[in-house]
Amino acid sequence: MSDTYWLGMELNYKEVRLCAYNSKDKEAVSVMMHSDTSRAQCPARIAHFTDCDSWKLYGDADVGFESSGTFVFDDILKHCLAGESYDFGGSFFEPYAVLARLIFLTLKSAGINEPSNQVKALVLTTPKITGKLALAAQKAFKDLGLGVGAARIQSFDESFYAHTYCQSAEIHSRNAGLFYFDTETHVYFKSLRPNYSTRPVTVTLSDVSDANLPRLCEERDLSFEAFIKECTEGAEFSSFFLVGNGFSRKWAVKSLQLLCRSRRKVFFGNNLFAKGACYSACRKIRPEIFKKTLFLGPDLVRINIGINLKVRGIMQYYPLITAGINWYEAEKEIELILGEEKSLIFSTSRLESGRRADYSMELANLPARPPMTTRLNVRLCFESPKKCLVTVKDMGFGEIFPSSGLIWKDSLT
Amino acid sequence: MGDYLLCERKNSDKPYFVSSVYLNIWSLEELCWFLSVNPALAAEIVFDPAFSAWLSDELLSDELIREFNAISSEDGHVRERLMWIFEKSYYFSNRDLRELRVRLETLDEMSPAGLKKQKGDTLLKYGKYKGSIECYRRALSAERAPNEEERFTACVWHNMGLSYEKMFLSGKALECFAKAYEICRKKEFLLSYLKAAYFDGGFEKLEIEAKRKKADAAEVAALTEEIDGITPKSAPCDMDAALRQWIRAYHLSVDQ
Repeated sequence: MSDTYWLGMELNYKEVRLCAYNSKDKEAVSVMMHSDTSRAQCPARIAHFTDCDSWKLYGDADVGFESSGTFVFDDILKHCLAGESYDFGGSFFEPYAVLARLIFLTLKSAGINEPSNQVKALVLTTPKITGKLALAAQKAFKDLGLGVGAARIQSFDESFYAHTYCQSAEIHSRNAGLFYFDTETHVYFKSLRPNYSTRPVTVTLSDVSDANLPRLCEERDLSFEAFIKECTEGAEFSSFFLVGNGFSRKWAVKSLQLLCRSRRKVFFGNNLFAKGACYSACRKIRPEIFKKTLFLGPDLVRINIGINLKVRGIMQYYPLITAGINWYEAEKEIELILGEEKSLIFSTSRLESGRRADYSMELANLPARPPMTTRLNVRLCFESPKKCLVTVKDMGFGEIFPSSGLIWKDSLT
Repeated sequence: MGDYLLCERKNSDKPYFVSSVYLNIWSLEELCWFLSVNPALAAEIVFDPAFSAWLSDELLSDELIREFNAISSEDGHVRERLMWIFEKSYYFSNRDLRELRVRLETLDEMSPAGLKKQKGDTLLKYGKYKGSIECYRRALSAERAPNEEERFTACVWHNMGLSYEKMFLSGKALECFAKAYEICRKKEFLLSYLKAAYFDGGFEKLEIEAKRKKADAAEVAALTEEIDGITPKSAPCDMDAALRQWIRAYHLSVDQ
């Protein structure tokens, strides 16, 4: 491997996978972890040995043999999603710190010992993202010395898109379907749908369908075949991806034949999301990858929010949030001086309809001061794709007019 | 549409300290507002080497620092430096800038006595009474403009009296108000004199002086009612803390 890396890391409820970008072959490749076993994934579990203050990735073989003074951190993703600390009889560990350790140990097992120097870009991908997970990831990246812009988080949906649209055109000329086996008998289906009538080409994600399959192989095959028919009815597909340990060619005979009809490409493997994350990490060095398409995923903010104010003496529209980015990455903080008004007026426009609206936020009980002597801190962040939180703080005007300490909060939906 | 100004710069890490009024300035916006309402203090600020250092270290880009240093190295008016700061800050509208320019031109044309009085008034406003008295004394002995005779001198004495009053030196205040009224028989000066008489010697002295100065009975009655109506505020809960705060504020006002 080279000395600096563009990486994609998948963290699901059970495992961690790592992919690195091979700039020579221009593709993402799985990274083997554990030099002795040459595995491309490891359990998402770490342990802390308090007697020698050391940490390590904790394999399945180690479980059940813990000595006293060993803290085992399991369900790391769940803890991060909920923002829930680990409590070992009074010893507390914040989820972001545990996540940072997991990332560090995973990188170390792949031979990357100095993330701050060796990692050019890292994208962490997870099945879903909550505000708490996004915050934990941000803190974890900071702990690892990965600066702003060097590391980010994205959902499996976005990784699926990134992976698919980095392949040759024949893979995504029509819809691309994903069958994800999260257990042996449960499968869910999503598809990417390109809309070639827009520029750039917009790609949307279908609704999720899922099915529980019987345990018996023959019945499972027939049931999966029926599920495939149901999911693909009325749409044309150029490719399918089969992901997850629950899938096997041993039982999926008829269903595979159905998938391969009409010269459709079928791929199976478990590193789709990690690879997709890796391609996203390479965005800066390969901007052409995503230039022609725009992913309108469910995590996207679909509203532009701005404010009309003076910048260097010129009244203009100042964008605060631009639609088209993920909600967990959408935040902005500015400071402004208030004129004669005692309220803030935000201008909004919707991404798809273009509909415009103004939203007024009253600053109740703001102390009376001469115009242009109130400095406000205005911060916008999203709680979900559709809910923007606006927080405004009165900063006063230095010692001339001290801050009242007032904070106003409101939400834009 | 709202009327807001984007702050492109955060507050400085270290403030600029305006020693004459004991005030820290943390941003260019605060500086602009402060100078626009207190132009009398502009000279002591814009020619202060510490001020140039603060601008350079905390607030300005390299290009602007070079420009400011070029202006500062010329023998220029306060007005030119001030207007440069106002224009580069983008804090004021074009209309405000035009009005400021006119006000600063008026300031330039002021006599040395007028400038001293202006500064004294500013210090009085900020509670720096000892400093304001010093300025008023200098104003009385400084060169005046031809149209600044009687009324101007009376105003200086009157405002000096206000400063002494704030320092609880009612005897000195009384002397100043008396001089002001002697020079210019303005009702406002007489009422200040009578109020000072009350603080110096109670209602008895107020009545005596009112008779001596042949004050209007109705006005004296109104003044008496005003004084009567000053109800004392309830005592603070933490008297020790309040006392410490008052002593500190007093020393700040008289130690400058």
